[in-house]
Amino acid sequence: MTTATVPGPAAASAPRRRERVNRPGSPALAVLSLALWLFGLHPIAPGQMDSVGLIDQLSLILLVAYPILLAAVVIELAAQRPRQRLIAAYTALGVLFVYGLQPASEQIARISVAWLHAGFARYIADHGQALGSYDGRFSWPGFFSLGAFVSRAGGQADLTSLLQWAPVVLAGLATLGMRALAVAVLGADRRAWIATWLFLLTEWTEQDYFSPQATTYVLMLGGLALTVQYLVRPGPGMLLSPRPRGRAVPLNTPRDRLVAQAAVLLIALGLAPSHQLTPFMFAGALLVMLLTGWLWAAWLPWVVLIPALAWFCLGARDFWQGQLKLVIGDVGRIGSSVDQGLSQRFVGDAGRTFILDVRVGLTCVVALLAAGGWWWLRSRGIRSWALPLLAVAPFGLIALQSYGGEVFLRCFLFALPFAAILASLPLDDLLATTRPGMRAGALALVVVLLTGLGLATVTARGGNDAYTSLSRADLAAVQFAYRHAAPGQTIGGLTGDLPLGYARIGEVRPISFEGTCHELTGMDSCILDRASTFLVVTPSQENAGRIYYGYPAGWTGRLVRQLIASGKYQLVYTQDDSLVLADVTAGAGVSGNAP
Amino acid sequence: MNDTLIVALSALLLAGLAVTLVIRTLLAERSAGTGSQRGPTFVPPALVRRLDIAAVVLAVLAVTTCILRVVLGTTGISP
Repeated sequence: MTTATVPGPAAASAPRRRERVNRPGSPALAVLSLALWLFGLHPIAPGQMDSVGLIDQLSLILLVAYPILLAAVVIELAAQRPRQRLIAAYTALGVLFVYGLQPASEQIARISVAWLHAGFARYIADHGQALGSYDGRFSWPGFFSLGAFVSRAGGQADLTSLLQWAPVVLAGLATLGMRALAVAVLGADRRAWIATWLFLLTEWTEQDYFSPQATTYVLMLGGLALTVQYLVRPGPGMLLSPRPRGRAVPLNTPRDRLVAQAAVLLIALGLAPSHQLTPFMFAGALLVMLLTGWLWAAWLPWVVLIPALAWFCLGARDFWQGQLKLVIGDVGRIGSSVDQGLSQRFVGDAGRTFILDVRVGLTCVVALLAAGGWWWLRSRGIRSWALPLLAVAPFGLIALQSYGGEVFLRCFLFALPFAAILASLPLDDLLATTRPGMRAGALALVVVLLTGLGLATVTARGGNDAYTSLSRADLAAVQFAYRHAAPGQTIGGLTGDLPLGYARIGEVRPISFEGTCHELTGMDSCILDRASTFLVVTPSQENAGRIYYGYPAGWTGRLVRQLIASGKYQLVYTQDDSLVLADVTAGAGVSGNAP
Repeated sequence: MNDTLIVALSALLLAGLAVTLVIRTLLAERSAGTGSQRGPTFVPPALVRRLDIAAVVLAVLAVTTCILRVVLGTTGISP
């Protein structure tokens, strides 16, 4: 059924003789890399980390594992007949190395929002419905309902036990979706593996924690792969060919196409109540395919778009009654979106700025490689606009939304699959080099490039870990506060970096003073004015203030002493460097372990 | 206008759109048949074209009704 008009990899056109050369090297290298990675792992607490985050704490032995694994991958890919199962196994290792590093080295699940999402799921499991007028995210309860179903079906009180390794599972599924999409566009050859690896090694956005966006992203990749495989005419691989003329029927049966359309509809119906952005980005990608002439099922973009619009209007009333300005207020304000997405994010000390530079650098390298892929297409006389437009179209979001300052991050995430597919084209040529004397150099260049991308992504993903990662002591402190908080009372943090909100949603209110009391001078009186019944202070918050806001070292300790001296707060719990203060004037009667 | 009425109208229009699209897609795919490498250009039958027009009308009405709910809801006109 594959009818790609673009010549395949050079290896595919070579004589189909059985390869005589054994390649024991690549599995041995992969096993060695896994052994080094496991041997080099060690526990890392938030208090140990500086402003560059995780990378500074990793052992040399662990870091050496990355180039060795990538050497194994490149050796296998460059072989005359790559062994698919081995590359698949290496890809699973790659997912573990890139996305499993933090779960394997940190004590508990990182990123406070993941804990809040577990709390939303728990609320639905306990009450059978979302809590109205509480949080805008409850207006898209699909993912939380799924979480509630899973926890009830599994007999669990909540899903907090799944949070830590969720990034590995969700990023692994996204990598699988990327592979399916790459195979649908490029065919099941080496280029599809290169595209998959480029995706795996450059996805620095960290949107793969326990969240609706991670789950819907996987669904969207599945929907795109299905569409390109069955609903692009005249067949898969056609996105790399000149625009089809007339209205040719895809090279499959009506039954294939009906099943594919039904599956895409099912995905659209799942996306609509689950995430506010993903269905619109999915519909946008389908619209690009339609406008560039490839999409057979002309109604498909609307089949994805209309349920999302309908849910917004009919199901997300709580959101638009209070926050419609968030949706329409940024329309056309490109300058504001750029300012919020770039300029305003470049705050913090030198280490944090370095991490932001790494992210920008990674994005630029991916864009350059994708531009190389476009040049590759044009140099072969293929004037196809489909792939370049699909890679660029997500950036149109900048004209519509600032997305709370995360717009560039989201644009990159949605552009990455198609950028990786484009970028795989010139890299495949490098791997196919057969000229004596040049082949070794070309392979080494690819290994160096992939290693650079992979380690840059590890650096970028762990860049905020000094304050986004959490410790068991932090969790124990929050659990203590939850145990003693009465209904209607509040548990607060100096910044938002706490595992708050995983329980008692709607009963005990989690708050953060980050937005309201961010001036260090007078912070104590600001907090006293807005008193929280319990105040949890942790090393992650100390790091956040120091790195993000430039507060001096030991600022949380001084603040705690000031709050206790005021007579309003009393130290009621302490474990390691995490502690809980209780507002004695609000009747927070507790008997903790404080001295 | 009563909010319940708008919601009911939206639901009715969306259901009509869904039914129209299902019938239209079944008919279109059946008449298109199995694709071939050098197959003829597909011309949709007249019935499919009419259903397409009906679906466009229903889609516009459904989306307009949905947006109307947001407009009335945010301006406080709707109860």
